[in-house]
Amino acid sequence: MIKTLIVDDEPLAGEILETYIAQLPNVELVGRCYNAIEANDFLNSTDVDLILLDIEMPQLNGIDFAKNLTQKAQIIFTTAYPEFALEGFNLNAVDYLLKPIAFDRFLKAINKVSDKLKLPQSQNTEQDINYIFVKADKKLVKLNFSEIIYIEGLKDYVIIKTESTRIITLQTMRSLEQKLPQDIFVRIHRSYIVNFNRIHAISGNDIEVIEKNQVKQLPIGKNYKEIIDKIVELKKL
Amino acid sequence: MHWFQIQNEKADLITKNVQTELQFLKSQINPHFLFNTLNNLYALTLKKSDLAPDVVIKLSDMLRYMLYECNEKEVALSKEIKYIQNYIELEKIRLSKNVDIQIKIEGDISKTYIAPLLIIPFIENSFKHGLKYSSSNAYLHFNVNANQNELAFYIENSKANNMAGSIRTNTTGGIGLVNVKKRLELIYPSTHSLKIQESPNSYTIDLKIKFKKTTND
Repeated sequence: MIKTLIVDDEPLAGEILETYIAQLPNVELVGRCYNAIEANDFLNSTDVDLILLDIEMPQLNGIDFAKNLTQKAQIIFTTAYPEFALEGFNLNAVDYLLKPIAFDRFLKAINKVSDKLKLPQSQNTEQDINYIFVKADKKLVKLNFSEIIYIEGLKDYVIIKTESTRIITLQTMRSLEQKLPQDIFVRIHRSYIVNFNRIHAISGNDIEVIEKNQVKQLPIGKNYKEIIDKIVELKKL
Repeated sequence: MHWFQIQNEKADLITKNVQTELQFLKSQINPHFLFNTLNNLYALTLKKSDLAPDVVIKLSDMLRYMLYECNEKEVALSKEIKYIQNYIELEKIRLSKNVDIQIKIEGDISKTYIAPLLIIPFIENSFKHGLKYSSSNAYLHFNVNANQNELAFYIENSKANNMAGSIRTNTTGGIGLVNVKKRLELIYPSTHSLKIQESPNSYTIDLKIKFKKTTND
């Protein structure tokens, strides 16, 4: 989860970002501040991974705030000022978003953050891990990502469907979702995560996958529709 | 020799004049105001707010005024004031708190003419350096009094009392105070008086322009 703080003196500008964050399962809003002083106080008591930082604010502007920041949080500037972009990037900001910010542009910036946050870990361990172990029947079963077609969540356990088998494991959807690579596995519904490489077709509010030579339809949840549309839009011919 | 000197001085004056006017034209649309307002509008449309259409109309009126009507030497005061009112309404949406805004207009403003966009920089500054900072009891009072001989503007706004030297020139687009002063000296050389006062809690602008018999040539 990317723990995120919004710093913007304008209420509506902050609301847009809140709406966007609510649509992203890997981003968590932990705070909302209206100026740099408030943000400073907040950061004294709370750790965050990411600050969405406006520039034009009373008292102390975003650039100066970023210069004096002691926490090692990532910064994305959100501003109507294109003229500070260079300075922003010199401050090692992950991205510099110009208002009004479209959702797909925001998503791109967030993806940069996830990449950055993941990077130090993957360098320490093996590169390109493409499998996970799941507990099933008192065994740890190794599953290659490419084998998994989709995952269905039930109350306290999940069913992982692969080409040849189905594995039932005690696990929440959320924790599993976090262990899977987010560029391949996408939450499409409260109860479904699908391997995007295994999608056969999308029709209306359903995603079709092929399971044992048969078409299986998986519903797209209302709250996940927009993000799926965006992903699909990026890949559309 | 003498003739040359006069010609040189004349050319100098013309250049200065043109430069000031050019700067005026270049800076009349404050891009940050425009994009921040568009951003607010974007937020309102995202949540399908009933306020969105009104913002579109106000912004259109402002842009139309700036792009088409401000090229004249003088405009009807009523139009300038409408522009200021629209500006204030749109700035209000950007604030995170309630502010007490009072506008008082006396006299026939539709028959009085004035150089365009003279007053807006003062109002811009009220928001930028005043209302955005003051924590509670923020206010803006804007009075206009137009009679046959004189046009008087009075602007008073609250400011945070811990802000040292809040008279800052506006360097980020929009028409800065320096530019307004230059324009006042060019357009109303000996007929205007501008008093700017700053107290710990407030900031006041007192601008008077005296009219000659014909105000609109």
